[in-house]
Amino acid sequence: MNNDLINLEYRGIPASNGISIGNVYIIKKSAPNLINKAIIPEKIDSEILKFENALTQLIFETNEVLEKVANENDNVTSIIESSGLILNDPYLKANIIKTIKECLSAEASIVRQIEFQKQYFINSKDAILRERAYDLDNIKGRLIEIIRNKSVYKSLPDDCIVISSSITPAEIVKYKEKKIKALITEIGGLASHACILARSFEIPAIIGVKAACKNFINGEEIIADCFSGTIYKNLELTLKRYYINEISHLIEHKKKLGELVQIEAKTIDGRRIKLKANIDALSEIAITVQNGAEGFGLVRSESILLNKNRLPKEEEQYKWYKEIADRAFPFEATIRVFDFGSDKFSLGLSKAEDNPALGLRGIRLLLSRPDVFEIQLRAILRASSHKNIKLLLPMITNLNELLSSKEVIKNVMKDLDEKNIDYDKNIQIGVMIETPSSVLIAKSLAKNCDFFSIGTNDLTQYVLAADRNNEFVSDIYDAMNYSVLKMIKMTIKAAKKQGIPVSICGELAGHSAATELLVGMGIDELSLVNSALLETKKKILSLNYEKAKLDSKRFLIEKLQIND
Amino acid sequence: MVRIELKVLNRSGLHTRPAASIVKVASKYKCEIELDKDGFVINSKSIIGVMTLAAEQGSILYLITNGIDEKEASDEIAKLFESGFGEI
Repeated sequence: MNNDLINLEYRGIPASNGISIGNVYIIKKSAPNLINKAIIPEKIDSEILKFENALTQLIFETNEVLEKVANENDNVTSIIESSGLILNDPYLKANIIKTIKECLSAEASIVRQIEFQKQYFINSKDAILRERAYDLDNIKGRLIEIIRNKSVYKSLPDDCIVISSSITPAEIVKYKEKKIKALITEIGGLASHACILARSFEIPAIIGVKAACKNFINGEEIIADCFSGTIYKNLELTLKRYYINEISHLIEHKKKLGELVQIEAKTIDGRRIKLKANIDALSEIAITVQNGAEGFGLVRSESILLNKNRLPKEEEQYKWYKEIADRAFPFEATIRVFDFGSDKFSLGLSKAEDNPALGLRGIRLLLSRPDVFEIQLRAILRASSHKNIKLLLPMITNLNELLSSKEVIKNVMKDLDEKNIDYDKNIQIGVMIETPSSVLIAKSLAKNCDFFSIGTNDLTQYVLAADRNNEFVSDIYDAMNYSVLKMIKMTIKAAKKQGIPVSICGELAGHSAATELLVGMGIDELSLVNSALLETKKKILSLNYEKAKLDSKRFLIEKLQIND
Repeated sequence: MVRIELKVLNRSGLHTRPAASIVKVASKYKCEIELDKDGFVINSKSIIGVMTLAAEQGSILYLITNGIDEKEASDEIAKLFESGFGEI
């Protein structure tokens, strides 16, 4: 074989993690395009009947699927339910019948009416609503398949990799039963219902692979690396061996973690603690998702500067944030705006700072450099169209810094509005609690923001005036020090009073001895390094919240003299 | 006829799941139930209609119910909005 053809690569967007080696099975879907197929008036009744029968059949199929997913989580059942509701939409049905009565065939009427409704979705400013256009397409496609008497499922062999132009939620449920190894589609969005289902069923998937149905043939062996979104065909033995090895690693890894990954982190008595991951690089996303992270509680945006001596342009930043948001979906990603000081990045300051940790860093720097701040905010806001990004402000020491930052955010939003650019108008803005001052004014900060995130590493350093990287004082640097714990308790109290959630990011969050205390203190969310995710979940599953509450209360009274 | 003002409280707005809840509740009643957002009026028994409103958090809608059980329908839908569709 020609060398160029060996291990031929095709690329798409990774939509559900995993690696599979298997034989291709292509499901062709004909694109129905019959806008003007006229019928004679005598045929109107039979065409209406054809449509009604197809609709009844599809409702039946959907109900069947709904029964099968009855035990899955709410996310899954509500997806199937909503497609059922679209099928039962009395106006859609009435409009299609009306169109048939105007002497158009059943198929043409379905296409015309659904395309008409779809326009509202496609033209929406709301990105999530635009994704719903796929749902309508799926319904249109399936109705016409039924009319043409096609069943796609019957001949599907076990253990194949399905390649199709598009995919419906109902099909995914059927494929799950057939134990397909992976799924590849030509179109679809990461937030589409089908992708959400593929992720919850752990079916590896790649979407957006151009001309996939044409570029592969039935029965040929391919590798689908759904971590990177790469498909290989004409496999050479070395590559195949490499992936077989990777797959066995994955299986081993999964076995080791057991069922922990899929279980929600909840105490014995039902208190839910969200477990999220801290990430610095896109390359870390796959592994944290695999370990069951419910989104990203701390995205350190300054890591985009790594190995660069210039600030990335808006477009480059946007792509980075967008990929993080898309891959977190439907979970959230909390992006902390740049937290760097003169030690990390050349700012063109006229004078070197003697003590960068106490110098111009975090929000201080951003407010003094509106050019840098505004570009970053624009990029983040543009990436927020799926409404799953939260903004986090670092190094806040006074209320004015929070209010000024909100003013800058508002101005950037105004500019986006004027240019008609889509973003999350209600994006949540949180304060990083990491300076002693921010704890002391937590009450007024809480009134002016949507959430707190306690950064225990810096908080410890600033409370104890000890550099964590300085070996001479490393015995003083202790996140479990009573003064630090007292600060954490004060922060939680201020947040609870105002009814905003508090999370902890920083190494203390993954400290096994601290978990019970933090849960007992009333923390809502922990954001951890990947390696601590499952250990911490195990710990939470073994806790009793009421007991943890009492224990931590006793501890706070005895050791910290806090009584509330 | 009953006409009341409603505010969308939940963060993600009237996306699929809240829209489905509205349709499910609305379909139980005999009366006509309409939602009006900025003059764009849709029938609340149509999920496509409700989703098409694309009502975001903070948007103000008017609920108009007209018929034999208009009061009950209005009350129950208002409750859904107040609870943020269970998403708060």
